[in-house]
Amino acid sequence: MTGSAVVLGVVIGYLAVLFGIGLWARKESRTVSGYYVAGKKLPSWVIAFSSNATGESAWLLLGLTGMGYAVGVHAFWVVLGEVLGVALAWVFVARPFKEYTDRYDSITVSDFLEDRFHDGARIIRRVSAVIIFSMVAVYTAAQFTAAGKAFDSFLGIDYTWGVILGAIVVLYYTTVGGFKAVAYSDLLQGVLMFLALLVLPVVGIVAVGGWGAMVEGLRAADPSLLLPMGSFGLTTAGVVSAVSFAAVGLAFLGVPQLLTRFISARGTREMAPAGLIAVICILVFDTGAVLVGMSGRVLFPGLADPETVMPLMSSSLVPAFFTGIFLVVVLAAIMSTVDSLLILASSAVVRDVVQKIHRPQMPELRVTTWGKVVTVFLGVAGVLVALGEVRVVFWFVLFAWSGLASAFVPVVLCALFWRRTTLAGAIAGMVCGFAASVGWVLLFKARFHELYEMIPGIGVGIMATVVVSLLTRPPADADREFDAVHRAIGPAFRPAPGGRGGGGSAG
Amino acid sequence: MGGLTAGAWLLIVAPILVGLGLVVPFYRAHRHEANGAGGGQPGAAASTAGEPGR
Repeated sequence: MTGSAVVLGVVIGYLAVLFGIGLWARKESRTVSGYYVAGKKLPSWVIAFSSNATGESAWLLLGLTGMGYAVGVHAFWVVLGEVLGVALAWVFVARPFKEYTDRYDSITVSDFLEDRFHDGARIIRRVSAVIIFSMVAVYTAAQFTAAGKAFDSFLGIDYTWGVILGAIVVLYYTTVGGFKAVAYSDLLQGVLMFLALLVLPVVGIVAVGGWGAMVEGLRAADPSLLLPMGSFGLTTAGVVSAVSFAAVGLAFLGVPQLLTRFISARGTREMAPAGLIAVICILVFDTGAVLVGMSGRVLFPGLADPETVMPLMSSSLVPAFFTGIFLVVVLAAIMSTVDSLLILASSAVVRDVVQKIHRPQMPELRVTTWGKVVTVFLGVAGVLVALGEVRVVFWFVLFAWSGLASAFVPVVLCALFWRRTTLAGAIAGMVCGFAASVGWVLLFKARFHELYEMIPGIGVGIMATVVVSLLTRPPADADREFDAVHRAIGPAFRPAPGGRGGGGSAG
Repeated sequence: MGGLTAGAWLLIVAPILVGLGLVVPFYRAHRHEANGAGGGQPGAAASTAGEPGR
């Protein structure tokens, strides 16, 4: 049996398991709550792995490894930012958000925002839908592009067929199994990514000749690869670069595809174990990816495209079976992100706009059917874009990641932690944050040492939310709800009142 | 130490210290709690929003 046949066999086995998960979960996908949040029944370990696998796309395995290759130790600023973002999200955001969304019986982030701000005109729902839909389209196309590239570089399968094959599998299990299939496939995919990023850096460092040999090899290649501020040194450009790298993690505090994991948990008590699992998982993900890149720099110097270092290492250093496993891991990272994005965008259109604004009486089964139709439509649109000329994968990923974060993080944080936030403030924050992120890329980024657009995006979003909120009146009863939620969950580092994770003193 | 400067080592271990430093005390504080308002029963939550049982 040739090496390629072994790799292909492993990939086919993996895809078959995903089909099986779709079939297993299909019963849950017949109701709106089941299709979009798995009936709010997911345990801690599923939401923990699902949130990390969703947050970390092909960018982790191809982009961050390439960054470790290109800039060495300086890439650990990304690790610091992401770990901090994940930890803060679970410790401070998850419990109040879950408590609010359970009280409101929310299925989507827009449901939460509408009820939090008593938005009778449903403006925030419409604005959210437009932002989610546009950013998800960009993000999904970039992920399908990555799938095509992965098939091409690992197996020599034509790029076009790689894109189409990846899309068929994701669309099947997402539409048939809904969010339950998405979450459990994310769990499988997250575990595979965890194991790969635990093993591959060790394989790489051993192949180099050990830690000391890797450090000496990097020093010989370029001494700045071992410096925290990289080749910039302690200059304005160096600080901007470090801050931009770390800022990637801010999105974990409030992008809707991750907040949906909190909604889908079976209760607030899941957050403590899930947070611990998620932080350990992201530590292994990110540290492993950077170390793969650093060891790859010594093993394969002079690569024209640093983002090919991970496929190259896995095809050169391990037997064919494990090369297949590593291809599966890259596909897993892609699929675990795409499935979540598709179901998020579907909910933004069908649940948030069609059902809640135009057709409130539509039967559940018809809503979920339309949800599946929109999921397929979005997937096909993503494939068509990916088959065009979108080949700069990670520029698009980081742009969409920033657009979603700039629109939602300021508003979600203010909604959860500042009682004075108003509807007008939330809408202004969402629109201004998103516009600042896009505007920064188009007008200012090149002039400010490539400062990552999420920083001005979130900064402007928070300022707009605060200023406009101070000029307008908060919704009636917002104080009472705010106090009830925060009294129920208690402080982050002390047990909740009465030993309950929430809801013990509602109203 | 290990061929790296103290600054480089600090950057490498900082994510571990920061991440576990936040999440371990959080886990210890809440690991024995019962589930809260929703408890996996959508529609049964104690709504304060005036639109229960969405």
